[in-house]
Amino acid sequence: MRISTRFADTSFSVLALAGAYLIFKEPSSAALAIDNWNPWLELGCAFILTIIMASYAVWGARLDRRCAEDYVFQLITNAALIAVITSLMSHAIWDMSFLNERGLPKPTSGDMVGVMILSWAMGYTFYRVRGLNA
Amino acid sequence: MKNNLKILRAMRDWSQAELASHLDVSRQAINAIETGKYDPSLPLAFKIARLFEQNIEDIFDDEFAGE
Repeated sequence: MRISTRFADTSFSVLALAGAYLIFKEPSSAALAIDNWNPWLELGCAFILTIIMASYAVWGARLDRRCAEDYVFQLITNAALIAVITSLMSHAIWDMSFLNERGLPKPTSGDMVGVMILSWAMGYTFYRVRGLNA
Repeated sequence: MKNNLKILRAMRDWSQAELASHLDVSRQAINAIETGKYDPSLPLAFKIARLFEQNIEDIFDDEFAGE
């Protein structure tokens, strides 16, 4: 299947809704922490999982590049950069905000995924409307 | 990057959709190139040049040339 501009437009509209839902939905109860969980094991799991997921993402991006025309791929990748920067900055500000002391809950992983997806869709819309040279 | 793709397309009396089908890209991509919202990749630029039987630099104006 070829990823056309229309397909990308539709996909990012759906993604924007999904991102907004993740941000505004009620957070689920936190997972119980296991007291005797070895921190080195946790670090190892995180490291291995990151390598596996990053490799999978590289494969996925290669597939995207083959399936999408260059214009669409550039739109997606430029928007992804916006999403990464927005997510990092949002997390830093939201997590360290003085409003946390006044009752604003810390961001959940769902919130951050929501911010990332929504900002990806917003970045896509921005470049689609203003152009990749904007 | 400025280009004269719109003029070349008009000379052949092609619509954006027709040019897009010749180049195997979407009509939106052609529109984005013509309006300067997107600079095509090198392979696509070569494809455009071959289609119109011109050199790339005759179609695309390198605004940074001479700097």
